[in-house]
Amino acid sequence: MTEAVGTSGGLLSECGLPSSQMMKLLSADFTTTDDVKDMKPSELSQATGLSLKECVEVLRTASNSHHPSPVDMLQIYQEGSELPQIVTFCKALDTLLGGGIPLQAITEVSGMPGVGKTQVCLQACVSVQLPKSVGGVGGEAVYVDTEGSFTVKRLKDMASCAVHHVGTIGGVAEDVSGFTIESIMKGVHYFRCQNCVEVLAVVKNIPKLMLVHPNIRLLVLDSVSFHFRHDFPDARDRAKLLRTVTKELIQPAVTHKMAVLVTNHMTTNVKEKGSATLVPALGETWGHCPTLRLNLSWCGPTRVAALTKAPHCQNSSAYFQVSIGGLRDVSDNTQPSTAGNLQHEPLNKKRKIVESNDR
Amino acid sequence: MMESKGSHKWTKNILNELDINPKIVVCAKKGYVSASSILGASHNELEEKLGLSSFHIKNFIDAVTSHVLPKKTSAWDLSQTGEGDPKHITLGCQNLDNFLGGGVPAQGITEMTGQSGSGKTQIALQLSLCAQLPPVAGGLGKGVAYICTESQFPTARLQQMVKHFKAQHSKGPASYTDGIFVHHIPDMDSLVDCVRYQLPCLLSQRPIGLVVLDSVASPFRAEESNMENKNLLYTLGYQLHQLAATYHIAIVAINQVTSVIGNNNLYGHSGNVVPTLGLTWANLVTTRLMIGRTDSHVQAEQTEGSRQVKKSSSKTIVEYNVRELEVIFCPWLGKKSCPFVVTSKGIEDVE
Repeated sequence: MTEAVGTSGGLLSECGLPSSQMMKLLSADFTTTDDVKDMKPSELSQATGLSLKECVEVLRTASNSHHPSPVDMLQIYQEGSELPQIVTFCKALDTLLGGGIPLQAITEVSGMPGVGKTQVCLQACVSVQLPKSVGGVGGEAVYVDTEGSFTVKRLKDMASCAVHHVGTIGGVAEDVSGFTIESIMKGVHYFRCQNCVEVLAVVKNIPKLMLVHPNIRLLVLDSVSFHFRHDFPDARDRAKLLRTVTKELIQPAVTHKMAVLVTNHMTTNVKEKGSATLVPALGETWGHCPTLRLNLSWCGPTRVAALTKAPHCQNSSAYFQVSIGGLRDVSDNTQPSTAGNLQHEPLNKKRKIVESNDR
Repeated sequence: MMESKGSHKWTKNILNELDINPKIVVCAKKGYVSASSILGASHNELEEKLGLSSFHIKNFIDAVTSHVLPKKTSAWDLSQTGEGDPKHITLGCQNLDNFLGGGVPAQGITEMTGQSGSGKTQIALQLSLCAQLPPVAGGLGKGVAYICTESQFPTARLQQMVKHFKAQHSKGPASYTDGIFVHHIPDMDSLVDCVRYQLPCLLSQRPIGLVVLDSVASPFRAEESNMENKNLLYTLGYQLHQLAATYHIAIVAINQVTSVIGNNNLYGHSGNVVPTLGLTWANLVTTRLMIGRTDSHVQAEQTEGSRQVKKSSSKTIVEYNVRELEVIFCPWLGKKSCPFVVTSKGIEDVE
């Protein structure tokens, strides 16, 4: 286990500079990017003996590289457990997820058409914006829509309920009064992508987007499968683009501490013996990417979420329902409700959000 | 032969459209000319293959990304412009329209599935008329492309419906039949070709707001259910979505059902029938509506449409089977059902 080196900038040797330049830099005692960052090309040239043109290149490369210095495991663990989670407003589901949808991780939500994958995404777009003073993440969301399932009206209904619940908890914190339907709707940045290259472009553009909106904490991709299951003119292209997207999605999660939420179709996997099972689409190329895999299905008239892959949660399941206000628990004494039966339970919600605050 | 707009956007050579250092263009011509190849490669791969500095590669990737990036908007902007509201086509029936939140969803692919004789084609015909009503009356104000894959287009029935429809709706085109373009396509390969090539042609030449596929099941059910045909089905659905997004049209696809043994609850709809074409197709459907007959009947007086028949003695009592329209799934509607009947006029509410 390496000791924490602190935040002294990345090592120049890891910036990909030609070895001849590295030799000269090292012999002039320049080892990290911090050592060179404030220098002028002419100064660097004089100190190292590199040409002016080479120095310009070195400075550019040094300022572009983002190499985090080695950090010890304890620090990573502490940071991770201190991160707030995105609640789903369904206690059973939050418990299943270990508190909510986690930041700094990729969560996949798979399921049959109509089971509620998009509803989970819309709920997360609202929940991520819950004010920090009530235990929320207080961040914004980016919604990448590939299928055209994004409905403004659904988002508005969920936002309205969330505002109501936060209102009942009370509090005069500034971020609570600023938590309005309008602010929530403005906090969901929307991209409609007509093909996989547009999806790639949006994900690659996240760092730039963060410069303008540094408070983004959720990236939703609904769905990853729609464009990638299409029969490409060249099958190798499809595999390569999928691998690239898979890799690119890790960046926002790790670097920007975002929660990445991705929906996926189900497909039939016919085994050799003739029996068929339902599995998330896109196979292993995609399968190893998500940290958490949540599968939604039906148990009679009730929706069920099952955790099929998780680093630290036990594999189990939770019942939930989709109401006008979003995801909710299935009550014991009422039937699983359809949209139209809003379950207003302000007291329970208060307890839930306060609980997440205690953690 | 014209594919739908935008399908080549990511495979064609975009180098000349970018505002970048000409040195990059020269190097990139070696094999990275399309958006998909450039964005699909890693930074390191591009550096290695093009022999350019990290700085140039970064600029190159940024330029391509900005070029391809779709417009950014927010949920708030969408709500203000009305772009984010789901679109509908009225059914001409108040109860049904209210139940569906304005009419049959006109976003993505709306599937109507159910047993034979349940009323799917009847609703499709009704929609073909309603779509031609102006937007103020709940229509799209445009024509319809009606693709028949099973039997002949029911011309006589349409004529009967048009007669009553004109009497009921004052605002509308002079000739409803002129606004319906009928194609007969029985096999799956021709169907996919039609959607890929002929439809975009038609859509760019005529004002068409609705495409009806009656039915999507028939051409595929006759064939083997192998990987190649599944891919073809997926291509069909995918292309339909592209058309809907590019030309802003509604797509209504009629599907059949097949019996299941035992309780099949995969879609949250417990019953003894399940829509055909499996998961491949279901994953492409935005809204799934199930139509079926019920055990109830209603009675009504059957009156002739002509106003000349007014003799009180010539009214006959007719029994209509009550049908049911059920929402199986829809991104903005809950699961519920609504009754309706099929009369000589077309689709009508149950009072």
